[in-house]
Amino acid sequence: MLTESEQLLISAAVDGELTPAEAKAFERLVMSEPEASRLFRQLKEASARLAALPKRTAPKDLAAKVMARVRPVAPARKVGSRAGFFLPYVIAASLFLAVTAGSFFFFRGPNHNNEQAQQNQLPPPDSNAVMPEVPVGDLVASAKPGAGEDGTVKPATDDGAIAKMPPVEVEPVVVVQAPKPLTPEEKDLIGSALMIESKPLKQVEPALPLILSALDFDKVEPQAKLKKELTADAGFRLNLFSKNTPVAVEHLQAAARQVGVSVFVEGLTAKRIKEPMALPYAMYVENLTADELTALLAALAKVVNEQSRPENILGAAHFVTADTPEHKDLKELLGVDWPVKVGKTFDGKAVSEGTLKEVVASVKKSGEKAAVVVTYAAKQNAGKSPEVRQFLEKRGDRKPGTVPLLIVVRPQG
Amino acid sequence: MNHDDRRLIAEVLAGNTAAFGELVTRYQDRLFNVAYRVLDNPDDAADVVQDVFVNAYQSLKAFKGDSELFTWLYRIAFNTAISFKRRKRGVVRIDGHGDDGGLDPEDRSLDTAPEASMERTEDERVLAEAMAKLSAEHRAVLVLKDIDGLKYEEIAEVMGVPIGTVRSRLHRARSELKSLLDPDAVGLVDAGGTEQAE
Repeated sequence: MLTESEQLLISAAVDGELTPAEAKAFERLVMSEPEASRLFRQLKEASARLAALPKRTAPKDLAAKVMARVRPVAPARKVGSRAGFFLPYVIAASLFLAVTAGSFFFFRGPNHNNEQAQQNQLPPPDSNAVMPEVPVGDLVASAKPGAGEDGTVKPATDDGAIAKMPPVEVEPVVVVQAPKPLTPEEKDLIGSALMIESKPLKQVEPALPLILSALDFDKVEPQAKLKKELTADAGFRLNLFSKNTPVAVEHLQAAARQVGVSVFVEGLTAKRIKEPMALPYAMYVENLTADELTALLAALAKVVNEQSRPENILGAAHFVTADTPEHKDLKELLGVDWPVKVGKTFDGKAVSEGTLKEVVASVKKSGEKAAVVVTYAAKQNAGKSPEVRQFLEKRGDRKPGTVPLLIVVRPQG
Repeated sequence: MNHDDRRLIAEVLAGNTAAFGELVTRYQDRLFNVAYRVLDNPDDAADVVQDVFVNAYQSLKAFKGDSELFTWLYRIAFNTAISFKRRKRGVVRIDGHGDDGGLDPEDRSLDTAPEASMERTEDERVLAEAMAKLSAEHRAVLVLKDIDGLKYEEIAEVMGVPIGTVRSRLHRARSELKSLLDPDAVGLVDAGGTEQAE
């Protein structure tokens, strides 16, 4: 009977996780114990059966669902110790501000208007209409029953008798008139808050990446989506995920040549693709229109779908509108700036079989369409290589109607 | 961590959410396969993988980058899957010390999942049935090692246990699976045996 430590040794051997010393111990154990050899074989077999289970792939819409969920939230930022330090002060300042603002509006509302009205309607302080001096006790007494009901104050004497004093006239109640509302030109920033015209809020469309299956590029509906996506003037990054990047990038070159694009492959990259090395590769093309790019991608899907296991060559495809990261990538890859915008590029027409052929013909006819392939992983400035220089020499000013596209073939899984 | 992952993470943290889409595409199949083999239900696996990516997105700032991104994602996936199972059918603890005081027994719910039995070979069906009878952590350790090919060190990181525990847990799981697949075989592991920790 094998001990537990011997069984663990055998299990680790099945996993190929033995240290050199353990490997020697395992060798000795197998030589001396037939049971050890049998257990090793059985465990190895169980492990192999599990390893042979088919790999399940995620549902096609999973990435889109995730992106829909993460879009509204920002990545959580860590609250540092400094933020914790300032927190009480921030709360105190907020409270102070709230109380100050509240007090201002509270006292400014009706009272402010009264003050203003009084300033407008009451006589000035140096007026002759001065109230006669009346003892405080008398004023208190006037509030008791017996006080005059005709609007006059009748001071009372200590013994309750009404003093024969001339009635004191009281100012009539002033009807407070609200001041005219301030016009915006008067620029009372706080008081005129309600006068500010509220502009309708703009609805912002978030730039969700277009996610497609690259194998569907030759189908009608995805092509329509592609056409619609390729309207942005800024250009795009297209991420193509592949289980075999060297083969995928070879097919991408073939597809580009099929539609009449000259492809320049950087020397070291050509060697890496041939070896083959499973690295990310990039193809950059900037002088094709949306129609021509759609044709190129359709040709790519077609050529890959003709292979025995197309799903091992191409998987998901992401379209992302070019922005700072893409500009930076191009600078690092080719040593050039991302081409400037030149205006609207898409005419809104749908791609049909007929127009696709026309597009291909026009590309072939122009003879100026070129693409360059470099290794994406090694972000060295490849601008010095002769192939890239050739591509750059053909690169003139960006033509109207063209869409720069950086295609990155990335390893999947 | 590889260069591409590092760059994409930096882009996400700089506000480029689309870069996160690339990370999702890169790892979704691998995570889904693992979740599917642990949960044995494609819908549950898809839900868990979605949650994993959303959690990862929200916690990306906390990811220090001193381990591989996929190891970090697996760790989230593992905990999410365990939580998912716990919510669904009772207490299952990753460390084997659940509220019920031990490892969870056979998971009957998995046998009845209609999707699970579809498009399967006979061998796959037999294996799935046997796997369903293992505890969640035994099933997970087998999936991570034999199906996904992680190393002991990586599994230890994902499961948050020492390498010695991985080694013993894996042996016990594999022996149990072997017994389930071949009932005539004599059990080689003492049922009362404890996991070895480093």
